[in-house]
Amino acid sequence: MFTKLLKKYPHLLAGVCFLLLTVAMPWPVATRLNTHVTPGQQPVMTVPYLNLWTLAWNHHWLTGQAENYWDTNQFYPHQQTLAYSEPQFAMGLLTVALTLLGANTVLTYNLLLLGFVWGAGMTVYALCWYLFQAKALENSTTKGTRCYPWAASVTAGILYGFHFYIFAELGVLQLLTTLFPPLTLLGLHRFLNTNKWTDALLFCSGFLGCWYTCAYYGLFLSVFVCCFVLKFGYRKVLEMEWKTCIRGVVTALITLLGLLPLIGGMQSAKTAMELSRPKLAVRDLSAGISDYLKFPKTSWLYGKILEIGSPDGRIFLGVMLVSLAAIGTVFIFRKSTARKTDEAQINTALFPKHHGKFYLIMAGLAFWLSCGMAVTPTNAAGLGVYRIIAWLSPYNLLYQYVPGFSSIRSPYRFAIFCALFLAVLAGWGMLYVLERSRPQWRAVLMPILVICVLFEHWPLPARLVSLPSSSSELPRIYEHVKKLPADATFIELPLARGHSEQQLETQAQAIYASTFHWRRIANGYSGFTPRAHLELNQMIAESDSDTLMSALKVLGIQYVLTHEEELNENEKQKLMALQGDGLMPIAHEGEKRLYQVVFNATKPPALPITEGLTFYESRTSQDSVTLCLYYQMDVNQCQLITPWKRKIEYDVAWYSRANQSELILVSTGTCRNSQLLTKTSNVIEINLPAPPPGEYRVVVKPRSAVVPRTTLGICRIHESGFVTFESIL
Amino acid sequence: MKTRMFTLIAICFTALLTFWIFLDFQKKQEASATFHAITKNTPLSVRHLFITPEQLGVQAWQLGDFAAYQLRTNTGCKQISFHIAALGRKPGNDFWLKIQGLRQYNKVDIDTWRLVSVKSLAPGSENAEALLASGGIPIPIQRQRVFPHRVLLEPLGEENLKTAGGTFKCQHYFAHLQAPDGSTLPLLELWANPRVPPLGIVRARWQDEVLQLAETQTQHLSEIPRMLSKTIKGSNSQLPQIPTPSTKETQHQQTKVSQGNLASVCTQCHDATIGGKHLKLASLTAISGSELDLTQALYHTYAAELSEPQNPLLLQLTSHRRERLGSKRVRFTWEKGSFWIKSDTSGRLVLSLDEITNRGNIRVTTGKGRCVLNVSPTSS
Repeated sequence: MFTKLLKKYPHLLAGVCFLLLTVAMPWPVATRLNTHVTPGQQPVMTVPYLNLWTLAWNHHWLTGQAENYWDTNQFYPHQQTLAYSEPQFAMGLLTVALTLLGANTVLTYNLLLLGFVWGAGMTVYALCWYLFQAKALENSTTKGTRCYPWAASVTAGILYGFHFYIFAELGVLQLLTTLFPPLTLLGLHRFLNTNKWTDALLFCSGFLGCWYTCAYYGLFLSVFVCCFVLKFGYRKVLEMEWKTCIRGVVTALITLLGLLPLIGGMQSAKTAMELSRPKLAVRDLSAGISDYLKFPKTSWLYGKILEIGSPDGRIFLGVMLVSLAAIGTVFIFRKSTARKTDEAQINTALFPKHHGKFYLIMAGLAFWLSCGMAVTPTNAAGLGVYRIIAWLSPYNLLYQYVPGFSSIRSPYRFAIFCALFLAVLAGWGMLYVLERSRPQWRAVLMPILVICVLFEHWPLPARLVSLPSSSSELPRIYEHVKKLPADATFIELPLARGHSEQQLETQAQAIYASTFHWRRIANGYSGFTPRAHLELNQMIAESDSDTLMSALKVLGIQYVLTHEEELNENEKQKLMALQGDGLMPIAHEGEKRLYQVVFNATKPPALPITEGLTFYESRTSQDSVTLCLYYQMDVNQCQLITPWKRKIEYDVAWYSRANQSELILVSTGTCRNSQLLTKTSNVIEINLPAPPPGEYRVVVKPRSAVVPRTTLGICRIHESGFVTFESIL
Repeated sequence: MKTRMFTLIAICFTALLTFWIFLDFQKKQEASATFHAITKNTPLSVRHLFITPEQLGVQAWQLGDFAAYQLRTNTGCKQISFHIAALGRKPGNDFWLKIQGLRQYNKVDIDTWRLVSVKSLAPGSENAEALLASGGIPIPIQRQRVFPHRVLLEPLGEENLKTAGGTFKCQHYFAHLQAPDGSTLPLLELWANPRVPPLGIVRARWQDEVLQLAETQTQHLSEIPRMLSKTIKGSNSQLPQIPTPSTKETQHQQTKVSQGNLASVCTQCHDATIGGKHLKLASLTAISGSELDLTQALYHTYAAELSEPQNPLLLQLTSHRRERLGSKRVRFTWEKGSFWIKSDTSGRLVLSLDEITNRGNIRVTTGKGRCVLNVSPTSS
């Protein structure tokens, strides 16, 4: 019966198997699809809230309710705020139809989650099925020959699609989009073999899908796609298969064109807000060798039965995966000593060894890259002859020279690519085991191996958290918020009192709640937080009520929503002091109050004048200097600087001191990121390219001022890296 | 046979050489990492400690040497003072340097007491170090790794510098930090005068931060907190006594604080109902064992105003190897009852204790094995 079914509908059978596993393994996610969300291993719900908000924003924009895709409603008045984290456009596109049919965001989120898990298994199954050339076995006369590639492909699908990493990251939706890398590889393999446009389209959809669901994976996948093209594409050039080459180039161009909107949006936000990650932050999130040896806490076997699980064990590859991949590797390198049976002949002929070697090398590369900056030094200076190791560190090279890598901070996520390549090898290994074992044992060995894989990977039940799925489930104060004008701007207090995920949860909740009214809010939670938002946070804690009021006004906040049960005494006193003197209560429900900010001035205050400037050593590199501008600020005065409004841009002309008419360099610097200027924090720093060490007469001129005020001075850049400046009055 | 022997020797030699290169690389990498950490991220308030007073011409310290500085940055201004407060274990050689204004926790000033000499002030070079907030228990600091990099001074000439502490004829320097491979990176710009003990610094600058002398004294009077008096052996006889000690810590009759080993009889600063028979001096930061007593740690946390009883208490469970103990069950027992609680995946516990519980001789027991409980009072 099974064999018949397998012969007739192998893919349908695999799909049903993966569907059953998708429902059973992340249990009980499938039971409460429209009311609950799992935070996975995360202690709090910050990331699921952010992903729900992102999904809802995509739906909001796709249904034509928002004008600019990148300018979302959080972190008001900042722009391009969607680029502070993953935009996940494809997720919105995949589920917008459901939203139009009336599904809530929680339901679409959970369906995506389960869909991605199922899809990851299925795509690896499809890749392995294709690589093992199982179709060719259809005509084989040997009984059961088709069953083994099917079992091997399904096993590979389970090893990758239901890997420990998936269940450890179950709360981070974009990290579950692991179906696209195998789909991309399948498209590439097929295109190189068949040269068909449909296969090129398969590659495009996999590659673009990867980028548009998780830019992290998209960037990582690009490395392996480049390796694939280098490894297999050059043959086509050597063999002068121009048709394939031209189609390949056209496909690449279409793919790049498809990526432009995403890269353009992300890059403009990166430039404006300096979204680069420092090397030390990258180092902290790089995988150490020991991280691969930590057993996962989320696994039933390691976490519950053996009790050896560790909370950091998210990238443990698994005993079965590594063992089967090792067998597959042996098979790749073994000499042709196969028994001369029908099956051995068939299989030996069907496994292209260069594919196996490629997957093995890619697994090694993924492992190496996942170690990021943890194993190799991050800085070459001070290492003597060993500086070559820092230069040749692959992740370091990617970080420095490949755009995009300097904006990401978690190289350990390369581990899932390592699991992907090993899963293909493991499928190969399983096929080898089945082929080499005695015929009477095969029927037993096959289910035993699958059961072992499932037993090892079976996760503990997922924790579910209930959250409001409609506006009626929100606190009643939000009814008043919904009645505010559509362009109203407000802030929910308190803001986060720290940087830990627990402390940030209230902000994530606020942005999720905003999906039910879509008013613009100054609160925000993302992978990147603008500086002015952090300064506002600090101001609420430390400044007097007048300065706070001034800050609210310059930020353009019209309403304040307070959750008084969460406010501390200091914050309550400040709000009390402002009541009637800037804040007018307009609604309250229990301990939640809504105030209106009373604006006196209709015209926004002008940027204050600079009272001085200086140059000193740059914080980023020795090839640049920092221009430091001091602004004249009054007590309680506050001013907002952003790259979009009140842009601060300076030109600095460097003249030789000896020959004062000789212009050496003109460097232009722009104030990146946003900033709140106050009496005690009245400085803006701009990083500028510097000329070679020497003594210079500098002319500093603002670009955008109505009446440009030029400053002259003598700047000495010393060989040793020190910078000194004297102003000439 | 000869070929095999030769191959074996070659393999052994290559393995040994590789291992030696690896160890050498590890050593260089560590040194390079600390070098970069100092030259990139260290603020001026710590950066200037890498320059030894001896390098600036301060040959010896005297008890009572004192200098206060204004530290100005782009975001504010604060005062830091350095005071030779007591003689050390080897009189004439090392001294207890009291630094005020350098550290704060929850807006409470925490004094740093370091046993150092004029030969080095760099972090890691001290013979002992403790942190003390008024009313709190001294927190001994684990000795850090010794700082391996040299500081080179590039003289730029003499300048007269006018400061709030007076006008001084100073030697102007650029100070450079030397990496293990001989390369250097700028550390700070410095104006020094050896007659300004204990540091010899009149002004120091790095990027936007300026440390400038505000006051200098040579007979500065200061009391030694009784909580540290046993640690600072012989210091009381060497210093002029302040007649009316009134702070809470002076009520302690006897306290012994040494590095990594704390024991005390704390009988008068609080009554016996607090702590009772379980009253033991525990570090504010880490308690180790299978049965842990939080009573005194909590009492002194509140006495030092590092936290308030109504604030949640953040506890971090770690093993002795400092690994986080996630999802570990521990039992809290106090006078009125007990409960089990499980740490989160990163080993954290957050508790809100009412007034009765706060004073109820809280003990923590682990179901199995020992652990380290790090008590970190949270802000509001």
